[in-house]
Amino acid sequence: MNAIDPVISHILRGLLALVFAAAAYHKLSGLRAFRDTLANYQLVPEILLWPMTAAIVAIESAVTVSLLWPAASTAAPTVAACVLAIYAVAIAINLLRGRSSIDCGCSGPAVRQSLSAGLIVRNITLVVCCWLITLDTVARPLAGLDAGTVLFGMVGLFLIYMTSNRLLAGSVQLRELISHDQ
Amino acid sequence: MTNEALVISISVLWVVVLALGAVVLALARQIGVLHERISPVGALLLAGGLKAGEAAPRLQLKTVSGQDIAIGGARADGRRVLLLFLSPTCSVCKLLLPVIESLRRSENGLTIVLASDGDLQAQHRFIERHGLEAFPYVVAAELGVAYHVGKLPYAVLIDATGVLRAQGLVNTREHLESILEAGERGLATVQEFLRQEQDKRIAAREEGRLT
Repeated sequence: MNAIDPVISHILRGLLALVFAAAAYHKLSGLRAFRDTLANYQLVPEILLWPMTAAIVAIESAVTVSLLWPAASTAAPTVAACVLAIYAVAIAINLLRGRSSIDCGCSGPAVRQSLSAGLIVRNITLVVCCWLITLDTVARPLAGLDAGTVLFGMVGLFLIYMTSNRLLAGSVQLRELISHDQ
Repeated sequence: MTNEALVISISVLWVVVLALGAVVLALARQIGVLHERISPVGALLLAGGLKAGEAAPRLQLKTVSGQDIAIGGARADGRRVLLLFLSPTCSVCKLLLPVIESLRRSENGLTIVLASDGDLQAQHRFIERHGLEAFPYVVAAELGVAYHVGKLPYAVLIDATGVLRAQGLVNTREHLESILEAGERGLATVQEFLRQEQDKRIAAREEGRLT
């Protein structure tokens, strides 16, 4: 029987909520740009681009809210894992097509980030987090210190997530730069 | 007593870790900004393909409005030709459209030809939506193949005698201007200009060491 400490579960739950909130916020702040990004993936017929854009933003917002809602304790991470897996497949398809130069649409229009295998690894890691929070938690009384651990733990991990995103974007640019110099 | 010390120690650790996280993120952002600044300098020329100074490949094509158009070769009217390769699905290309419209209005002996390939209906919608009727617009895959166009938007400058003067990937107004500037200076790309400057500096340094 698998059971994890409630603090770990809460930290991961908070982290995923922050990740989805940031994703939905970036997309909402540049809906048109996100539509164009989606079009570049060449997986959605043109007539469905706007409905799909709206659906993605709605699902990401709903996941953010429901992750923090105790009643949806297994449904929310399941949907989140599916969304992350679909993105990973979309990225993989375009990498296989050799269209790695398109923008991934991960961090909004301000940050251009090409597709890379690192993004797939990132998504798989997040899917594992989704799975971990569906596990049962050990029953133990929570102290005030635990609240601090949860808060600082999730913000700390979110900072690491954003940093790795930036570094992933940077490593692709660096590769382009080096290959261009030669 | 030890319990209290532990609580304080852990609280301090939290704050330190968060501060470190914030610093590392700020560093990563700065690296990102530096990347944006340095890559690419001017219009990026991709390896391989045609060289500046060579005769541009000659093709006889039709525009979407059905007119004949000759690409490459000497031009009787003495105008330079700027070939701009774009596509309706490329969002960077759309940002360049106002720039090429102002280039067309300012004239200066430059004919701008837009080139694309793919679904003809999508091309017509693209032309209509962005008001590109004033430009000769060619939809032909063989044009992109002839000029070795890999990434969009890509610009090629051909002078009146049919010689390829400058070319490169153009992501911004500055890149496009650098193509025109490079064409006027007789340099293939801004990269070549920078290399020449560097070579000059190195040569000057060597000379100083010898004397």
